[in-house]
Amino acid sequence: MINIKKMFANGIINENPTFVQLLGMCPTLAVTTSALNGLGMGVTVIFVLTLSNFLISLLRKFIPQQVRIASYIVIISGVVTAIQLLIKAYFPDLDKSLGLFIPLIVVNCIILARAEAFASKNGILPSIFDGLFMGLGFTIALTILGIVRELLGAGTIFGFDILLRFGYTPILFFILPAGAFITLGVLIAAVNSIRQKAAECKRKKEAEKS
Amino acid sequence: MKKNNSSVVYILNIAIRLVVICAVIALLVATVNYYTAPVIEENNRIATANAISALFGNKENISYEEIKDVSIPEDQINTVDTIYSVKDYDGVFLGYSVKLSPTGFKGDVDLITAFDTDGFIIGVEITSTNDETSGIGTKVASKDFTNQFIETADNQISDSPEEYIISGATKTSKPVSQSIITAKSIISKLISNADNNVELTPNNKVENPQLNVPETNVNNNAEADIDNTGTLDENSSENTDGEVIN
Repeated sequence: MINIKKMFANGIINENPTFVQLLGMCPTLAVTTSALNGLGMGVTVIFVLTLSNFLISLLRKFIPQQVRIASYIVIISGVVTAIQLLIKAYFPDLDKSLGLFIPLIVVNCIILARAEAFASKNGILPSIFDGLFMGLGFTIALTILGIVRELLGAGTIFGFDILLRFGYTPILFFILPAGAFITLGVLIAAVNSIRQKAAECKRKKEAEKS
Repeated sequence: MKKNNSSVVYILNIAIRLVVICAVIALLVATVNYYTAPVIEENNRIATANAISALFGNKENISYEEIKDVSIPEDQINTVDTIYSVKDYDGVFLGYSVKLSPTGFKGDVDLITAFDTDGFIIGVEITSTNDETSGIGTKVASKDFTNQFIETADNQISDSPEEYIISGATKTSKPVSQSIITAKSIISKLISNADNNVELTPNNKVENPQLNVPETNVNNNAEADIDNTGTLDENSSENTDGEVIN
């Protein structure tokens, strides 16, 4: 029986690939110079993760244990290439802004980690949901990171002027790699703090009930 | 002996399964490629056509053809993508356009430059800054940067790219400036060669798919046209599909 609610909570909060598992740091730090790039990369990863989880789960009994990592990489790279072609054909602007980072999804740890930890051990449907929710968690994390960096580094969000109209001078530091590390660190601290408070509240409620 | 046989079978089993997986994935990619390749090609064509049209003042009915066999400096071969000769549909020569892709800070920057019939730069359009840092390298796409290169008879660009670089974005703006200077020198040579009656060899005539094609055939009998084989034909004409009819 699939517990979709639990899987959803795991993907978005409890096991969020970016804020909790710290997976896929390369695109997380490199792409999030703008909110749109973060969102675009996240949505692309949702497709790749869902499709690769589906294929790996489908072929899990056929894939030899000894060469499973090589097989996963073949499947993941095939899926990434197919999705890159589709983005190039139907979303050329997104392809231009994501550029090199689309092929680099092949070596994104999230994809391989979910293939090894989940899709290779579970059925097709749970694997699809796992890919979907983990990808969604990754997308939310990247979009938040992109929003903060774009707002402080360029004064805009999704290209819309937010702070510039008030005479704000953009702090370019947040667009640069060092700004990505610091912003991510602050966001991880914030997410951990929220999770701890939520866990405390839960404990208190349970104590009151008992 | 039995152990050897079983290990061969064991290895073959693994190898065959891996080959099957590769074949299935290759089939998936090939299928997607089959359906997306024409769309991607069309996208690229439209992007180029729009950029050239914009540089020539959004004139309607522009056609452009690729010029091949142009001498390009060895260190700039990877920078210069394509050189086009641009005409309107009446066959009136408007100038040249050069598609460039210099390597910036992280990846290639794509741009198109337009030259009038005298070889003066009339416009520069950055079509993609790809992986350049947002807010820094992407400044090359601003009009403040590209308008520096627009020339008049009294005001021509310098041979030194350093004069045009953006402070803080040197790694992007310098190769872009250098590529524009290179394009200028190539077009200048092309014009001087044309003046000396050296035959050009244009190929792959491309029509602007977004521009209006005249409903009636346009005869270019009055002016020599250049066909796909690179030879001059004094009686060529174009049909409504933009094909060259000899």
